[in-house]
Amino acid sequence: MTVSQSSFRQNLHTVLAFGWSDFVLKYRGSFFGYLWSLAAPLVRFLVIYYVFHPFVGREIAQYPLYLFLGIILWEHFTLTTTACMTMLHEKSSLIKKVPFPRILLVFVTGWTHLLIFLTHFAIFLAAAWAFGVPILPRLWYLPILLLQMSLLALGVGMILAAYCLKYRDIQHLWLIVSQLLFWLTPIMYPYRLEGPLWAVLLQTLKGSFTPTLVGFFDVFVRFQPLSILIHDARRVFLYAGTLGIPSFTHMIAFTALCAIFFGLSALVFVRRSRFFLQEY
Amino acid sequence: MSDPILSCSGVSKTFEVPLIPFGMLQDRLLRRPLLRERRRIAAVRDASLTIHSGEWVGLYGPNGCGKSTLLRMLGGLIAPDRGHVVCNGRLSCFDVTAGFHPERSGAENVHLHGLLHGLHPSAIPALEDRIFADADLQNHRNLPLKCYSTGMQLRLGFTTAATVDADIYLFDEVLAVGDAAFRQRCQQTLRAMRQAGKTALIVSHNLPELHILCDRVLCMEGGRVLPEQQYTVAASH
Repeated sequence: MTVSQSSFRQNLHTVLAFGWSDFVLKYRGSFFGYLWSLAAPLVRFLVIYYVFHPFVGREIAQYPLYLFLGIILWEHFTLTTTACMTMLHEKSSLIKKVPFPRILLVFVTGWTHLLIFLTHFAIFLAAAWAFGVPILPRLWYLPILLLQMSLLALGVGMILAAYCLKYRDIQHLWLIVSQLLFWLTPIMYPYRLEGPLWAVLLQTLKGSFTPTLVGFFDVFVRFQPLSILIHDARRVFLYAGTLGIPSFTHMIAFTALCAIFFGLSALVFVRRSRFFLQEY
Repeated sequence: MSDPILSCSGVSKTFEVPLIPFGMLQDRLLRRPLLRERRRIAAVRDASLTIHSGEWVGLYGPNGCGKSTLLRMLGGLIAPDRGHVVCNGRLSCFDVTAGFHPERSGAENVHLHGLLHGLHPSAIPALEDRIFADADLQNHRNLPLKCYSTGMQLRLGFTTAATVDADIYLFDEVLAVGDAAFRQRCQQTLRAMRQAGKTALIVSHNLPELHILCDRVLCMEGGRVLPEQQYTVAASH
């Protein structure tokens, strides 16, 4: 029996094993098991489809797929960010007693929710096949999407987790903010961008922005990272023929921005994690 | 003497808590002046100690004297406000409850803890076999931990702590829990570890047992580690 040096491979083993164990544990003992993770997005999908289809169904091609992809990406974001906070309570016995890099728990949370997302995405693939949308040739984009969404969700989750023990209001506040964000993300309504993202952003900054509440919301909905992430995924998987896929520069730039945000969040989390034990 | 395997010098830790706990916004707004009154609890003050390879050191003191806080700082669980901790080896900082999850089976808990302690995944199955054999829990291996009796959980936690290969073991109150049979088993295991040349720091209330198990016993009082000579004189009275 040997104790190996703390290394990338060792940490990877730990994260994968812990994440899988958490995934299994999440549904252990419940009658419907994993099916519960499908219930929330499915019910949300059915209700929104019923309400919004008469208004935007004709305007948006493949609306059921458009909506379902938006919902599963949103579900991943909101579940991951919330889980980053709750894991500090769920795993408090470990945090209080075993010395290890706390950031591993963030990656464990990310991996568990990535597994859930992948099962949702498999259902999306089946639905796309049923609707006759050829997605398989565009699956090359999936790793990029997984990377971007994980960096973004874990980045936000780490910032929240870093302070949620000290400021107990954050968890409640985030519930409200995520409700607000749900409506300010083009999940069920159309997203418009006349030209490349950076060009439109520059044009908006130069003067087309109206300093009203509606103007502010409009800019926020168009340029907030989740909107861009969901829009890019839809362009690749659903509208590659009509809208075209995002440019290579766009993909690199957006991934780099997500990575920078993730890196800064990780710095904050690591610095704050030294105080978790005394903040319980 | 060999190089120190674990040492700390001038380590201090102070916890700051409001005199009146303010949990709600209305309290914060209406009773704001009281919010400024905070109590500073100096849990550990200017503590220094050195543990050499093969040495068994006991840490004794009354409740609230800062033993567990010092142990947590030595184990890297809490960052000290001042001073520094130097660890020149692999550390096993296990509590007998070890943060096990009640819904996971004993085998799963041991597996995940092995990973967190830096064990290679290929080495863990052999470790599991040894732990469940030593703890006499082979029949309960795949049962959720919530199905174990308290004694069984303590046995599993302690055996895991003692079996993980490390250069220094930090034990917190292992001699104070469980029934007489469990405590006897703990002592046997600790003696065997000592004979095998392991190094340990044991925090306990039980002074006679510390004297039997350890090469030297340090005493803490009011957050300070008393000089060994002073403590020996005090203990002899």
